[in-house]
Amino acid sequence: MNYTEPNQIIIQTSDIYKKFRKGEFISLKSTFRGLFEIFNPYKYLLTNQQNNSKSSKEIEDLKEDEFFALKNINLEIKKGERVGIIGKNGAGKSTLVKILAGITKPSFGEITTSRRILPLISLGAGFDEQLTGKENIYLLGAIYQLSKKDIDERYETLVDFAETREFMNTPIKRYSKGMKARLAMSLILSFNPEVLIVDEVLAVGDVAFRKKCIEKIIEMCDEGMTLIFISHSMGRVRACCNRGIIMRKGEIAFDGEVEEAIENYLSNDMGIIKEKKIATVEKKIEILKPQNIEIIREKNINPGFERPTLINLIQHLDAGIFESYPGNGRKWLDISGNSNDVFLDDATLFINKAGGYFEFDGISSSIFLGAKPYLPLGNNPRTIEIWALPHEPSLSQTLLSYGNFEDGKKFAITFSRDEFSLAVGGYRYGTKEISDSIKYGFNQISIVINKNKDETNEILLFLNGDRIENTYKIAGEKKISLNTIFDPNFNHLGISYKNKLYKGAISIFRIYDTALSEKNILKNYFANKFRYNHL
Amino acid sequence: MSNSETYNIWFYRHTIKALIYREINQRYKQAAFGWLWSLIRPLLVAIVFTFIFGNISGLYSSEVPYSLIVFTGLLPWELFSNVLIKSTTSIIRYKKLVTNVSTPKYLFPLVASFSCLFEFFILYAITILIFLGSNFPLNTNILYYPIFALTVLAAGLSIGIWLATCTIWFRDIKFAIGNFLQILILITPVGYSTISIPKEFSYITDLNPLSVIMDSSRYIMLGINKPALSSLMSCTVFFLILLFTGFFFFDYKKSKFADII
Repeated sequence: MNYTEPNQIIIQTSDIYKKFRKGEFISLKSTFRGLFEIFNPYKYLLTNQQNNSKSSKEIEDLKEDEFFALKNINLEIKKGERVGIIGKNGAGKSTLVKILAGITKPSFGEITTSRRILPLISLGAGFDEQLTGKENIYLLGAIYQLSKKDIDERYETLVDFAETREFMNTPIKRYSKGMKARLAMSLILSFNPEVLIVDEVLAVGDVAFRKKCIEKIIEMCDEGMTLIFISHSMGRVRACCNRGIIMRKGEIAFDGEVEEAIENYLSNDMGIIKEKKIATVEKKIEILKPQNIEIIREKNINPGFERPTLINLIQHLDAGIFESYPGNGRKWLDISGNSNDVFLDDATLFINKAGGYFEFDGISSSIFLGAKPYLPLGNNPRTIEIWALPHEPSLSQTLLSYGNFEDGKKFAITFSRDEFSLAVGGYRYGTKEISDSIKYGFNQISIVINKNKDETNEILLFLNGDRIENTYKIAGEKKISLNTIFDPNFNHLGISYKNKLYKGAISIFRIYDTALSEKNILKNYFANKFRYNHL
Repeated sequence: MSNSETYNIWFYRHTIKALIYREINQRYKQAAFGWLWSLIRPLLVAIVFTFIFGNISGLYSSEVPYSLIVFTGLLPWELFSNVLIKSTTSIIRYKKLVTNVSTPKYLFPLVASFSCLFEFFILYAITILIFLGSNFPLNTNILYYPIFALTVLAAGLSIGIWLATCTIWFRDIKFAIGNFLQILILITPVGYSTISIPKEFSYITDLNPLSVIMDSSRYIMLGINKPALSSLMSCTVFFLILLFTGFFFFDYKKSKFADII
């Protein structure tokens, strides 16, 4: 057998089924059934003779409290392949790798492997809390059949990799979770196995260490290692794998290119709106971009207000005309009923000092800030709706992005001197009745700052204008949980970063909304990719 | 999955070594008296036995000092009961390894029982000291005693391997085993020798395969209680059958361990 041949199949499974029982033996009846199953000589003889291959009738013959964790898995993994297995919780990913690693056996079906497989399923599974870090390294190494000499050779490099040198003579029980994980991880990665299975163990450890591990894994793959990688982080799967497998309810739903797999998984399993779709919101601005815009000069802006960004905004979006309106009376444009002749070339609005945006024929269009927007010109929509933000932005606020969520709710993201602000819902103008404000929040947002750099940045979060106690330190991406979901008081969320906004500093701003839809589908409300000059 | 290395113990020598080290280390780490605790129980039992059987019950009458009778009985008994308990609970104690590492599962009861030799050798040394302390002549056969100890270990493992498999389904065994051993120590000739049992109760020891082990132990060390060849043979066959069937049973059920445990 030629071991260097790249296309050699090293793991092959045929019709693997794995049956699990839902309950335990709690009642007396099930205990007797369990006893009978354990001491059933007929079964023993049968399985030995037939070597686990059963007829399809037997496969279908499920008892009432049994279910298949894996169904009909046919998988071929060739040498050097980097397979990413993705799927929802409970899709059977871990069961599959446990079978591939030989930890448990399939109920039916066969698996042939021609290599020793190193499973990295639970970090520090062999660790003994009482022993020191060094003793544990030798213990865990021995569990993976390394001699003392073998470990001696790797010891220095792996301690350097784990960065735990000063604690090697401390009992593991005093280690932090992260340190334990680093130690185990660095030992496993020093093995140079032929097949490595990584089952979502990279989630522990900080960003820098995770990155180091991924780099090491990729390096090992380049040297010819076969990788089976399970992760819920699409970024890691994308980084490590070239083949993607989607598991759904115990079956392989997709097997192919990793990019396709990720896209398929995100849209079908996670219900995440792809960035592409959101882009249509931005496109709408272009479609409805009014022609012949006259930009009101600065002289027209009330000198009492400092709005350096306003002109930028207008230039940026080419979207609206703003006129100073010194009065502070409260008016709004009544355009209902006689829609054809309301098209005013220079209507003025004063809406509650808040920003907002227009909707023409149900499509969001131009935006306005603060008090005094002009209706954009140039097209003749049948209906106009004006949406105002539910909060009062500061005067120098810039509306960066706005749009509709899938369920029709509006959002807008604004930026003032040092703070991003996200507002959801809002008051609806433009029809006779003013609907109740729809207020709801989010439970998780994701912020990406300086994605390419490792430096840690401090950000502050403001909820309804009040600072949330915690200061978040962020390097790269961070998800922050906020209990604003269905909070009747949720108004807007502000994010302050370094008190200044640098170009490209905040590159992606995503909001996860898990509970809004009853199906609990994770939605990725991608708001914008804004790159702004510093202000 | 067929793996030619699975049954190659030599291939797993490092694993076995490290696990035995861990087993022993785990027992006595962070205890100020350390391994000295392993002596407390046998010594307490010896004191109680000396009090009950040596003084009160009148079961004892021999030219051999009673302390030697007790210790030659306790030596195999402690090994047997330790091996039985440790191997029975081995799989559930190594739960994390069973469910996460593809180490062959038979290593765990094996490692658990061999680690009991540590306590055995401590008690063995104490027994030799007691021999030296008493005026009873020291038999050279005592040097071969560790080989006999291995057969006792196998006897303990033969039951332990069965129970280890069943414990995965029924944790009841973990609780029952302690109670069972407490009764067994009384009906087994540990604190008394078989010759001092009245004829009408001798069937208890005749039916108990452990009494052959106790007899053999005393025969090796003291030269008394020579076991009959027939009972020696039947005892050996009994434990050998248990051991082999136990390993087959274990091997047959091992693929379910990670799912059920």
